[in-house]
Amino acid sequence: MSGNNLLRLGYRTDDSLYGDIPKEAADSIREFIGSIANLKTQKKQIEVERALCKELPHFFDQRFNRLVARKGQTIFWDCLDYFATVRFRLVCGDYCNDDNMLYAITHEAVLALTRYNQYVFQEGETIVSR
Amino acid sequence: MSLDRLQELSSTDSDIAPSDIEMHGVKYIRSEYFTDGQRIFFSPLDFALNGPNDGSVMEREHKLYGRCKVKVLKRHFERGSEVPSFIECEVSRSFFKHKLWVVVRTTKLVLEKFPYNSIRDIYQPNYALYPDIYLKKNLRMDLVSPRNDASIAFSIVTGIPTGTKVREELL
Repeated sequence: MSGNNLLRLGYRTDDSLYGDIPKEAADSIREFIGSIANLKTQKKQIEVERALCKELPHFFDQRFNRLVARKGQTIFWDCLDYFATVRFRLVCGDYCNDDNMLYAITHEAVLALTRYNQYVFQEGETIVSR
Repeated sequence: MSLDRLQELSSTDSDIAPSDIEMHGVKYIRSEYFTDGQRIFFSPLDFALNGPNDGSVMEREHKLYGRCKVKVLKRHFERGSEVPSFIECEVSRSFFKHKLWVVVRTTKLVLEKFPYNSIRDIYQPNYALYPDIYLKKNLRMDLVSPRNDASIAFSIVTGIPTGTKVREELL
C-alpha cells in the first residue's frame, strides 16, 4: 500500500474504471491521473499546477508560464469527456483520499484548454472537448 | 417557457398546434420518440409530469453503453404544489447502479439540499441531473461532471441531455 499517497493502488489496472473507454484515451487518462498519484494528501491544491507541469511536460506547452494545452503530443485533450467519466468512477470507487484534488486537476485541465483556445483560435472558434 | 405559454404570447393567427389535444376522452401530448418507439422527454419538468409512475422502470438498449435502466423511486413534492421539486431515481447498467436526483424546480428546500450557486459560475453550472454520490461526498459539479455514468444512462433512456440545467427562478 502506498501510505497516505493520494491515489490507492489499482487505479491503473481496475478494468471497471476504463470499461467502454477507447484504449488510447484510457492510456492518456491513466498518465494524467498518475501525475498526482504520489502527491501526499497534506499538500495544498496550489501545488497541483506545479506538479502537472513537472510530471507531464508533453501535455502542456512549455513556452508559457501557466498551463496551456499542447495538442498533438497526446490525445488526452480530445478525451476530456472520457476523463470525466473515469473521474466519476474513481470517486465512486473511493480511489482518491482527497476527491477535491481530482477536481483541482480537472479545473487545471479545463483552464489549460481554455487558454489554448484563446491563444490559437482567436477568431472565435473554440474547442471545449471532443 | 412551456408551449402553452408560448402559444399564449403568440398572435392568435399562430400556426402552432396546442401542446395537448383531447380526443375521445384521451389526452394526447406533443412528443417525440426514439426510433425504437420510446418517448423522448423534453426536460426534467416534462419527465416529472409525463414520465413513469413511482416504482416504474424504463429501459433502453444503446449500441455503445448496452442496456440502461431508470427506476423512478420517489417524487418529492412540497406542500401545495402539484409539480414535484425533485425526483429520486435509480439508474443502472450492466456493471453499476447509482442513485440520481433529477431537480425539477428551484425552491428554498432544493437550494438547501443541493449546493447550487446563487450566482452564475461558468465553471460550476447548476445541473439538473445530480448523482447522489456527489451529495454524499459534498462535492460540487463542475464543467465536465455531467459526463458521469449515472447521467449518461439516464440521458440514454429519457433523451434529456446530461448537461441540462435547473430552472433559475430562485437562483
